[in-house]
Amino acid sequence: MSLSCDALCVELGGRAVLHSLSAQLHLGKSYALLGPNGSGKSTLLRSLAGLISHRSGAVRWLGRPLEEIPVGERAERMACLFQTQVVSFDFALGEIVAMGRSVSTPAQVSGALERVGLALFEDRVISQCSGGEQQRAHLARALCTQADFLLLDEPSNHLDLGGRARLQRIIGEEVERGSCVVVSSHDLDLVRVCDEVLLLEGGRLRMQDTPERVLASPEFQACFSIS
Amino acid sequence: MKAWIAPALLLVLVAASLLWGGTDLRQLDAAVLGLRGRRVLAAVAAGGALSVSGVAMQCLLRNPLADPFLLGMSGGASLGAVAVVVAFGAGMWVGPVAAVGAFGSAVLVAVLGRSGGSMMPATRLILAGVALASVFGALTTLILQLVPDDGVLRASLFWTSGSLGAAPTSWCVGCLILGIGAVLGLRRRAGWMDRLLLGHDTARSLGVPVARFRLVLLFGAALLTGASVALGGLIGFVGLLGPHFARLLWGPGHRRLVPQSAWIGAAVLLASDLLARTVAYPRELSVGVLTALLGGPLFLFLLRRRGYAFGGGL
Repeated sequence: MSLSCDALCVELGGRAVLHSLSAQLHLGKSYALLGPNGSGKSTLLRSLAGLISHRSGAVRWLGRPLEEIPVGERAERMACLFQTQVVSFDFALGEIVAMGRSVSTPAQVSGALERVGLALFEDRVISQCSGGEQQRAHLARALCTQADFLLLDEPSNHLDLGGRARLQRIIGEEVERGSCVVVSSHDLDLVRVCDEVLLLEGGRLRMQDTPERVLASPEFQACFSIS
Repeated sequence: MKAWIAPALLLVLVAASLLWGGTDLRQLDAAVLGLRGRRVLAAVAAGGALSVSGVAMQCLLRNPLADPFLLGMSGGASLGAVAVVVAFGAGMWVGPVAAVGAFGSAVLVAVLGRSGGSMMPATRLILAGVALASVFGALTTLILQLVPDDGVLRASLFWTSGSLGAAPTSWCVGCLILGIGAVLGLRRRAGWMDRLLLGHDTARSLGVPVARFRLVLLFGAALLTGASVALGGLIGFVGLLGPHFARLLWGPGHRRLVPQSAWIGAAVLLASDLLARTVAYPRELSVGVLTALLGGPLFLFLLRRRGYAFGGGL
């Protein structure tokens, strides 16, 4: 049971962003995408979610080509949190979280808000929340889906120390539940709690290993020009 | 806020519109009631259509400033109307040709606003609409300058400021059916509309066919705007006021917003039309002037009200 990409090549605006990238991501494990700015982390996440088409190669969900999976089934089995989350109108946090499922019960909504520490914020409108609270609300929306695959792009953005610790705990809980969690992040504390790290550079996979090995490797230091 | 308040207000206005006018109540007969009834039908259909069109446009563009005429539709409608008035004189076909002009401009905006794949970025759509509106406006002015006929100018002015007096009953019924269909259809897809406001990537990840659905919203809004233009010309403010007032009272969720906007749009236009034909009786004012005079202060009230942030970030 896995999410995989085989020799994936993606172009954006005529520029090659991912070059023949192959990886397998299994249920019950967490993965961190690590790499410098512009290394293709967000593009890989969006490709895995089926949001951008690839020039060649394939993305497979549980062995099936992504294109063959109906949009509705994808939405039930995969939840995403993207970097830019601007809500155009003043929805209450409870309403936003409820959008995570086609039909949500009040218990599922309040449960998801409670997990991110926003139990008392269900009726508060999004424009009256801080950046960190908004980020947690969007995370709660993704958690409410109770999906097999959880794709999170820079989920610790705007979060304070307590929020980051809670996020790390949530990732552990999701993996325990049997989900596959893929996180793109520059937050090394978050990267360390993941089972494996995929080190990207220039749209290529440089290394896939445990966080300890990747963070101690010469490849990691070369990627970020750390001497 | 109770859901029945807006329909109840509309019912009161319908009764007032049927009974109140230049004629003494004792002289009311079937002919007068028939004429007023047709006008009530036109106001309810056009007001509801404009307001629902406003909701669809705001959702399509994820922008609280969007109104039914934003994407060059008013310019297209004016050009069509003035061209017909100049060529054939003022008549019942001015409205339908103007509606075709409004719909045609939406098609042009959709074609011009496409970027690479099938997506239509909101900024490109708005800029394409602004550019088209300028071209249509210039062409309309050019026609009016080349044909300096007072009759043409007066007919054009009256039409561009809106009037519900001339629409045949069959058109009113057609617009009403279209409006009811739009309310039912959009209400069924209220979840998709809500999710679209979280951003295109998030909406797609939540199962919304974003590109296809945005096209449906664009052409649906254009149809509704075109139908209202055919009934009453260019009537401003209803498409902006209806959605915002409904949002203030019932929140941004489209399941309630779509039908409540329709009720409020219908009520605002009906109240404006009632005043347009009674305040200066026996003269009739343009209904567009009244919607602006009524809608302007109401909108300013919304702006001043604490706790209503329009789109959140504004």
